[in-house]
Amino acid sequence: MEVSAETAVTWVFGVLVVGAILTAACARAQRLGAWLAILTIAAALLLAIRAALGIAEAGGPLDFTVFRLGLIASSLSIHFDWLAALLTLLILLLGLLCAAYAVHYIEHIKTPSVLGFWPPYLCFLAGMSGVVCVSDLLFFIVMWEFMSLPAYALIVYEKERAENLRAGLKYLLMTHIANVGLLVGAWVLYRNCGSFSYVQLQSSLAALAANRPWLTNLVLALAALAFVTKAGLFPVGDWLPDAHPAAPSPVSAMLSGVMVKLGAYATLRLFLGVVPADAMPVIWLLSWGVILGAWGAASALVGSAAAVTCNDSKRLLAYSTIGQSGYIFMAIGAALAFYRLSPLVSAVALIAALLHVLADALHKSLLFLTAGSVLMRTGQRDMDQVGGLMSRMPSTGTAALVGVLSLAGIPLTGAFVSKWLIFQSSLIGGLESPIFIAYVVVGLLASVMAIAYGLKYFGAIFLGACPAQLAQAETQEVPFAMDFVQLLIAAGCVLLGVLPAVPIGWCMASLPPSLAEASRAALSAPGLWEIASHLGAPQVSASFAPLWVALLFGFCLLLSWALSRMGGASIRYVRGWVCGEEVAPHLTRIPAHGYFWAAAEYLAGIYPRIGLPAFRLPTETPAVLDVDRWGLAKVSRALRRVSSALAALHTGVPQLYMLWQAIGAAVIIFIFWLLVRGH
Amino acid sequence: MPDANISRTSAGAVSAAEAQAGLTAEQAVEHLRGVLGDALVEASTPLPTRCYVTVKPERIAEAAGFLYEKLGARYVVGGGTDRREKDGTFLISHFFALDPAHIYLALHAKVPGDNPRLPSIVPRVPAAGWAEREIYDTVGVECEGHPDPRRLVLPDDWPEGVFPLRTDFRFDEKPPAAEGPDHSHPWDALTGESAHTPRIYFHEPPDGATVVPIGPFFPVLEEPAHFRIFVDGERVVGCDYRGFYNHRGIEKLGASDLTYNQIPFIAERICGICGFVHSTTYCQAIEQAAGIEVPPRARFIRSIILELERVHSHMLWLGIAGHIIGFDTVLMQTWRMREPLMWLCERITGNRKTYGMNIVGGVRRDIPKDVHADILKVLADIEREWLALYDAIPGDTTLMARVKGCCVLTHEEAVRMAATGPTARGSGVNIDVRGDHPYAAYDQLSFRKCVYPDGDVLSRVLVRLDETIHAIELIRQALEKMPDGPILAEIKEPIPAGLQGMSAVEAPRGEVFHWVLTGEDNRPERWRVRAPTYANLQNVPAMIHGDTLGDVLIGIGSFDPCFSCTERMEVIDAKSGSVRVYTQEELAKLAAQRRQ
Repeated sequence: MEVSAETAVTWVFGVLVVGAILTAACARAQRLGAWLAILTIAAALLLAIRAALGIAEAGGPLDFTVFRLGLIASSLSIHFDWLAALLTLLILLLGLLCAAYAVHYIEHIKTPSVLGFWPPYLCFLAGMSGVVCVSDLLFFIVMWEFMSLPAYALIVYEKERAENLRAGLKYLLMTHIANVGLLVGAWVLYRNCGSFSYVQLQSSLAALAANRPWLTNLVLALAALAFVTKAGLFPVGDWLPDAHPAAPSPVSAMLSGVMVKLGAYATLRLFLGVVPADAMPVIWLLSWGVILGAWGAASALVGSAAAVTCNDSKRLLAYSTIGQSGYIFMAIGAALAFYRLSPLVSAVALIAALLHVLADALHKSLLFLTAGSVLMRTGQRDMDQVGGLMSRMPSTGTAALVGVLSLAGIPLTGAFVSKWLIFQSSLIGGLESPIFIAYVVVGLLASVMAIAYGLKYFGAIFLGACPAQLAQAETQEVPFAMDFVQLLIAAGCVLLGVLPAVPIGWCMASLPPSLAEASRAALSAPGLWEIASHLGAPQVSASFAPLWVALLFGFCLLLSWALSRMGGASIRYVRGWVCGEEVAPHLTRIPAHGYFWAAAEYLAGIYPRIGLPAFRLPTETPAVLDVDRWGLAKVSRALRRVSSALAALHTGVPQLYMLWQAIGAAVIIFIFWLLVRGH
Repeated sequence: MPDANISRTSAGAVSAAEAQAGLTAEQAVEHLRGVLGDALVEASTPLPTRCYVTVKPERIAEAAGFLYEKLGARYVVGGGTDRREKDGTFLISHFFALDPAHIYLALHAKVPGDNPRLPSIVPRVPAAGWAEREIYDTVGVECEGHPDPRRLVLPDDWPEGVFPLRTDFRFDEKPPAAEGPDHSHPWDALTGESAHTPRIYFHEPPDGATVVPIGPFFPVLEEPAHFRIFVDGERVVGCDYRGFYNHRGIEKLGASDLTYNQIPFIAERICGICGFVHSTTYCQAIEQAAGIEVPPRARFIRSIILELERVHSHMLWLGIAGHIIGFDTVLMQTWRMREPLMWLCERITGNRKTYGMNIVGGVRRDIPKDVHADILKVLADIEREWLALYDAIPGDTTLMARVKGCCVLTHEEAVRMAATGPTARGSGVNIDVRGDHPYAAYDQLSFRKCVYPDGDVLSRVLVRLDETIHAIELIRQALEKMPDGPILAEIKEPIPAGLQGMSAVEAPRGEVFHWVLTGEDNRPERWRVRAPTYANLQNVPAMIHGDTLGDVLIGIGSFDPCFSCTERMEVIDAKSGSVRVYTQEELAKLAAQRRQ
C-alpha cells in the first residue's frame, strides 16, 4: 500500500488518537492495552519515517492544509520540515521505548485509575507530535493543550497520594497561567494581522514591528514566557521538581526527555519561523538573545546547584533538567543574538541547541528509567536509603553510568559534542558581544556541578555498601524488557557521541534557509570543529574525531586485557584494609547526603521554591477534580447501562425480533412519508 | 569515651574558686563528715595539702558527688588495689584535686573481697568514666550503675574473669590467646557468611551517620589509637574510642617485681617525650609517703630539667601540629630549632632523652657552673627564634583559618570532663600544678599561669607558645637562685609499709598524677599512674562534636595526645624478654648507627 508523505504526517496524529480510544475501550485488560499502545506507537513511528522520507523525496518541507475554519481564517495546516521530522521521530522513538519499559513498570503500581495509563499516554504523544507539525498558531495552541492535559493525567496517575495531586495541580496552574499569556498574544496577533498562519503572520508582523514595536515585543515576551515555563527554566519551571517524583518513571522520562524540549522548539519556531527575523532590527534580536542567554545561564547554574543538594533521585534529575534546559536556552540566545551579526555563529549555536536537545533527551530519559528501576525494586527514591546496587542490578547500573557520563559531558557521549559547540559558538560570539563569554564561564561552572550530581546519583545508588535494611532484601535486576530499553538508550547516548556527524548533518538540514545559505560552505567538511578558523579568529581552531578516539580507547582496553591474560594475572577479591580494626561496610557507607556535603551546605536554598499558597479547598473539591469519578466513571456506567439495556432486548424469542422488525419498518415508512409529503 | 553522643549540658559543679576559698584540709574532711556522718570511716591529713578519707562503699557516690558538685573538686583518677591478703577487701580509690585550696584528696572505700561491687560515681562525676572501667578490667570490682561498662584496657581475647592487677595473678603470667587467627568479621552475621560473631566493643553510630575509622595505625601521630568518628555528611556527630593497644602493665611490674629505686627508671620510660615528669612524680610520691626531705639543690635541678623538657616537648608538638595541617615548614623549622636543646640535654644528663637523673631522695647528677653559660646561650637562641614564630602565626591567614574557632572545648565541658594542662588552660580553666600544688623548686620561682579563654585550637597553640617562653624564664630564674649543697638525701631507714603519697607534676601535656601505697619487700604495694592524656582523651567527643571531619585530626592533635603515656606502654624484646622503650630520638640514633 502506497502512503503519501502528506497522509503519513496526518495519520501520525490520527493513529495515536485512535489508539487512545481503543486502549480506553480495553482499560480492564491491562496487558492487551499495553500491546495495543505499543503497536499504535510503532505504527505512528513508521508513518513518521515515511513522512521524513517524503521530505527527502520532495527536497524540501511538506506544506499542506488538512482543513480550514473559514469563519476565523484559521486552518489546520502542516509544515513538516526537517526540524519537525527530527522532533517527531525523537518523540515517537522515545515514546515507543518508554512504553515498552512501562508495560512492566505500571503493573507494580496499584492505582484505582479508571482511565488507565495508556489513553492519556497516547494522547500525550499525539499532542506532542501535533505541536511540532502544525503551522498555524491557533492549532498550535490546541495541540499544546492536547499535550499538556494528558501530561497532567499522567503526573497524577498515582492519585491516591495527596502530594502527587498537589504536584499535578502545581504543574497545571503554573503552565496554564503562562498559557494565558500565549493566548492573549495569539489574540493580539490575530487582531492585527488577521490570520493565525505562520506564513501570513511573518509577512504582516514586519509591518506591525515597524508601527508598534512595543506591542510586538510584548507579544513575543508573553509567548516566550509560556514556552520557557514549559521548558522548565528557573524560576518559572518550578513545577518540574514536584511533578517528576510524582509521575511514574516512564512518564518522567517523557516529560523531561521530550516535553520540556518542546518549550525550546516552540521558542525557536516563534523567533525564527513566525517572527520575520530577517526584517527585525538587529538590536531586537541581540537583546532577545542576550536575555534568553542570561536566563539560560542562570538556569543552568541554579538548576545544577540545586541538583547537587538533592537526595531524592527523581528530584535530582528534575533539577538537572532545569540545568540542561538552561544550556539549550544559552545556545538559543546565542543563535538569536548573532542571527544577523554573524550567521555562522548563529548556525553553530542552533545546531548545538538541537544537538543538546537530542543528547539531553536521551540521557535524561535513560536516567529517569534507571531511577524508576531502582524505585520499582527497592521502593526508594530517597538515595540515602539505597546503595551498592551495582552488584544486584548490574545492567541498570551500567546504563546509569553511561547516563551520568553523558550528563556530565564526558567525551564520547552526545552531550560532550553539544556542550562543546554551545561553548564554542558563545565564545566566538563573545568576540562581538562579550556578555556571552560570561555565560560560558557560568555554563562551565554548571558543568562541574553536573559532574558532581552525576557522581552523586550514580555513586550513592550503585556504589559503596548496601544499607543494613537493604542487605537482607532480595533485590534483583529488572525484567528483560525494561533492561533492554535502558541499554538501548545508553547505546544511543554513546552513538551520539561517537558518530556526531550524522545528527549534526540532520541539525544542519533543520536550519532556517537564511542561515543554511550563509553557513553551508563553512560547515561542510572537514568539520564543524574548525569553525573558528573560518571566522578568521587567530589560531583557535581545534578538531576532535570521536570515532578515532573511541577506537584508540578500545584498542588500549583490548591491549590491557590481552596483556593481563598473557601475564596470567588472576583477579583477587579481598577486603579493604581499614587501619587494623574491622568496621562493617554498612557502617562506613557514605549516604547520598554525605556527597559534597560542604558544597551542599553552602548551596542549600539556592533554588527558592514557589509554594502553592496554603488554601483550603472545599471538601467536595477532590470529587470535582477527580475526572474519573464524576466524568469517565459516570459515562462508562451509563454506557454500560445502555448496552445492558440493549442486551436485555436480546431475549432469544424469534417472535419478538419479528415485532422489532415490524416496528422498525413502520418507523421508516413514517419518516419516508414525512419526507415525501412536502413535495 | 563515656558516651558516644555527648549532651552538652552545663557543668553541675559550682565555681571551684568560690567554693574552695580559704578551705583547709581539715575543713574539707569536716564538710565530708557533715554529709556522710557515720559513713565516713576514717580520715587523715598527714600534710596540710593531702587528705585521705575512707568511706563506706555504698556511700561513695554521695561523697564523690559532694566533692564535685558542692566543693568544685576536679576528678583526677581512680584505681583499685587487691588487699584481700591483708584485710580481705579491695581498696577502691578515687582521687580529687581541690586546686584553689591546694589540696589533693583521696577517697577510699574498702569493698569486701567476696562481694566485689560498689556504686558507680559516674552518674554524679562524669569524668570518672574511664577510671571505673579500668577498675573492673584490672581488679574485677564492678561499679554498679556505670552508663557505659565496656572493656577499656584489656584486649578482645583476654578471658573473662581474669583480672591482672589482683595479687593472685603473677606479673609474668600469660592467659591463653584466642585460638587461631580470627578472620571473622562483625558483619558476617549480617551477610550470613559465618555463624561466629565476635564481641563488638564499639558503639553503633546514630541513625544516618557514617563511621569513619581512624587508626589503630594512627595516621599522623604514629601511635596506636582507634577513633570511630561518626559523621553526618562531613559534620562530626559523635565518636567512639578504643585504645590501650599497648597496655603492658607497668603498674603491675612496679608492685610485684621492681624495687623502690628501680621504678624511677621504668617510670621514665612510660613516655617517650616527657619521661622525666613520671620519674619525678614517682620519686616525690615516695619521698612524701616516707617523709624524706629532698635537698634544695636537687629540687632546683628537677625544676630545670622539667622546664627543659617542657620546652623541647612544646617545640616537638608545634612541629607535629604543623605537620597535621600539612604545613611542614613549621615542622622543619621547629625541629631544627629544637635540636640544639636536645644536644644540651645530652650534655647535662648524658642522654638526649630518658635522662635517668631521678632517684628517690634527689637526683644523680649535678648541673655544674660551667654548663650554665651554655644553657643560657641555647635558651637565648631558642627564645629569639620562638618569638619570631610567635609573631608570624597571627599574620598567617591560612594557618589562622585552620585553627581559629576549630574544635572548641568549652569551659564547662573542660571542667565537667576534668581536662588538664594546656587543654584546660586553653579553655580558660585556671589550673596548673606548678602554681596550685607547688613541687620541686616552683615555690621559690616567680611563676604565672598561661590561660586563654576561647577553647579552640588557636587557644591551645597560644598557651603552649606562651608557656615555652615562660619556661625559658623559669630556667633562667632557677639557674640564678639555685643554692649550693648536696643533690641526694641519704635514706637510712627502710621505708615502712602502709604509707601513702600523692604527687603531681605539670607535664607539658598536663597533670601527671601518681599515688603510691608503700609495701613490704622494698617495693610499693600499689603504684597508680595517670598520664594527662588519660584525662584529655575523654574530652575528645565534646571537642570535635559539630566540627567537620577535616578538623578532627588537628583537634585530636591539639591536646598533644600521648597514647603510650596513657597506656603505660613498653616495647618488649621478644627474644631476651627484656623491657625497653625506644623513643623517637633513640630510634633515629639507632638508624644513624646502622647507616654508619
